[in-house]
Amino acid sequence: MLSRVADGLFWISRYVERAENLARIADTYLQAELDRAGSRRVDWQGVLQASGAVESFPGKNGSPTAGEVVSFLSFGADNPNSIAACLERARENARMIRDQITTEMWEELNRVWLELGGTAGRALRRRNPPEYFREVRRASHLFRGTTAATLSRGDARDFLDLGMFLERADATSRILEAQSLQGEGTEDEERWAALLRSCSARETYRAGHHSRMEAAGVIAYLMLDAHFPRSLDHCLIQTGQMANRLAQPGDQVEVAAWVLAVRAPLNRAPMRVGPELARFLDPWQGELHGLSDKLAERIIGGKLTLPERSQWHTQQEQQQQKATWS
Amino acid sequence: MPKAGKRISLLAGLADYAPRKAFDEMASARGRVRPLYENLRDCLQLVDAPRLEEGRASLDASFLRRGITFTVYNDPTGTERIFPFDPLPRLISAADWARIEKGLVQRVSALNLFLQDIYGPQKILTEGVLPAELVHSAKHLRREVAGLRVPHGVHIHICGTDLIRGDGGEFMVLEDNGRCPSGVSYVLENRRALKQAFPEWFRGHRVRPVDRYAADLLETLREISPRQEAEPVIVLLTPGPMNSAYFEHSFLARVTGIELVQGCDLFVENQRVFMRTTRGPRQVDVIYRRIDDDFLDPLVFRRDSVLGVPGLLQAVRRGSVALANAIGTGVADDKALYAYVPRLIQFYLSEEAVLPNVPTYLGAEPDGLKYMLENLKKLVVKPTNESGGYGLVIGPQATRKELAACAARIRKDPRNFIAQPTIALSTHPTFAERKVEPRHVDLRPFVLTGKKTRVLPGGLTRVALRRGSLVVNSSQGGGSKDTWVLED
Repeated sequence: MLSRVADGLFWISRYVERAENLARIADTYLQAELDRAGSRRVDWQGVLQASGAVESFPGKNGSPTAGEVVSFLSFGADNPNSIAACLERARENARMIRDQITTEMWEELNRVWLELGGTAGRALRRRNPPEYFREVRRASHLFRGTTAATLSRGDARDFLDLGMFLERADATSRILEAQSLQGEGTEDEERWAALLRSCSARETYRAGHHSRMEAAGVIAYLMLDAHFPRSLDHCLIQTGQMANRLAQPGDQVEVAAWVLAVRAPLNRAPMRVGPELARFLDPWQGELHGLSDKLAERIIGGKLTLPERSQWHTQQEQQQQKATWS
Repeated sequence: MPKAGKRISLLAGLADYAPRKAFDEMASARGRVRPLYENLRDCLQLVDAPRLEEGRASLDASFLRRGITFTVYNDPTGTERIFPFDPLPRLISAADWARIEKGLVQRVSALNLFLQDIYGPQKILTEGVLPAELVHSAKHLRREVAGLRVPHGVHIHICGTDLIRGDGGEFMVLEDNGRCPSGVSYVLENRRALKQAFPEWFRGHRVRPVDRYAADLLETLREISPRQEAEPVIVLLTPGPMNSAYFEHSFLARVTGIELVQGCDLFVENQRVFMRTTRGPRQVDVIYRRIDDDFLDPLVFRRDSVLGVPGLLQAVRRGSVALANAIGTGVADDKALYAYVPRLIQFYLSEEAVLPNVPTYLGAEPDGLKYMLENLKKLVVKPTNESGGYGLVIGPQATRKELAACAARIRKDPRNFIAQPTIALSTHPTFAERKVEPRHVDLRPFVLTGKKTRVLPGGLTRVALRRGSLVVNSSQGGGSKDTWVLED
């Protein structure tokens, strides 16, 4: 497979996953605010942090309204990580490797971009935010299902899965970190329910835990459960498998060691919210990003001489050499 | 407005169908439906305007959904647009097609022999059939490939030849496209779309299928591989997703199963071309390139090219990789050379041209010059060494002063001018403004040449959707139609 194609697959998958996570975070907090109307404020700073949007959020150090934050997360013009931006980049990456994915996958990404990324999506988001966020999550699930049903189970699928699990691990750890910065409040059962919901984990957690919901159990579940598809441990187990399948035989041991070096410390993490957990997760995320970069370079292979940003205009001009019939 | 539910037969619309001056492909000058179209007329009688409108809207939606779009340059609002599709198919009889096919094969053969000659012994120049100056001044002549031998002597593997129909309905060649002709993806997509929207129309006709094109293209590319003993590695080199024809590039890669690459995916080592893959470098045998000569190799052509592959020409010279089309084919679709193509056919094949050119008067010849100067007001005058319409004088629209200046220029350097009568393209029924109206059309058939020549039945019919317009270009209100070659 062309290295550029592998790179494209990896990023399609990350952007689709990112859009899904953003939609879930925004929706969960929007609902939490309704629950608490008038009683207590929801921590929007935490939402921005979990969404990787603290820095790009414009001004308003005070207290932005729920509407402002949700609007910024979904369509914010200056937000490179808005849902709309992710959907657009997923589709753009797919267009670049259009010949390497199935028609069904392409049409799904194209549909989502047309229906949720532009004017129509903006209107839906204003009219009915929960419905909009549900549609974004459903789009991600449909894309995964379409992929599973139509794409050969080879390297292409593994690159997609690799991107998905790395992105998912990143999202879950951000959500946990944002929680850990909100103080302890261990008695607050609603809060743990919301935390689980923001990872689509409430039902699966409940199925295995019948006792009262408490912080340690919920955090352990999101970090260490080997089977829940969004837990950190599960994501890293899967990352290890994908990396092993994709690496050249001579690289497999080294690559496995990289993954293990990020996975192993999870067992030593403090299982309670608070500054300690934040102190653990912050550098851990750095390790995760480092792992992602190393895997991308080693497995996707061959340094691509992609154009520098300064060359972008030249690229565009030259790519647009007149087609002979237009 | 008709009442809801009331069916308006298209025939009522056809009663008003009034072709103007040009040759109309469905209706004769006396307003009779030609025998070729009787069957289609019967089909159309069963649909009313709302049904047609509905069909067309769903076709548009399906093109958008499937991402069948072209990129519009210099347009800040939206960069991708669909190519408007008119549902009324254009018919070509088996007899007409047999002649067109014969003419196309003949023409492409002659152009290939010409290129082999021009980049080789140049007999045609030494024998004085073609003025040497005309070739040497051609903008797309590539001296860098002089003496280079190409597989099977074929330079133009994929050719798009634009045809129009004259006043009597005869097919004529308007121009040859021997560089990177596009549009074939729309031929295949239009057929697929129309079959879904109006399947009943196909039942009353025996339409020759077009879907062999992908297999034929692949076969053509395989035939030119330098490694005939092994399974060749074939790629399609695109300028990138910002190119207006990018959809077509990805489409062709997908239907043939060959890899779509950009310049940055390829590199040259030891005069061989490799692509960068996740399992290391992989040697490439055939490149179907959809980028212009200028951008192919920054070491030889444009030095600022960021789309090309440095060292590519060396690999081509060594014969380790084949390019389709070959470098330097632009000299064969040069406007200046066009007038000489019938003579090239005569020279290389000792045959008369099956498909005529549009009548062209050459300033280089005494008779042509005389006619040109006496009839300037009726003619379109084109300088032979310019392109893009630069220096063009349209007689019927020019002032006396402009005509006089033009005549002076021609007298000064007669060889630099050609003239043609103003041409009205034929018209074809088209669904426009909620009724069926005559609109001007042209035709671009596609010819593939490897060890043998294969012609796609039909081709891309482009239609000027604006009333009276002769401009079929997609960027200026043009659309396209499905083209049906009928079997007897």
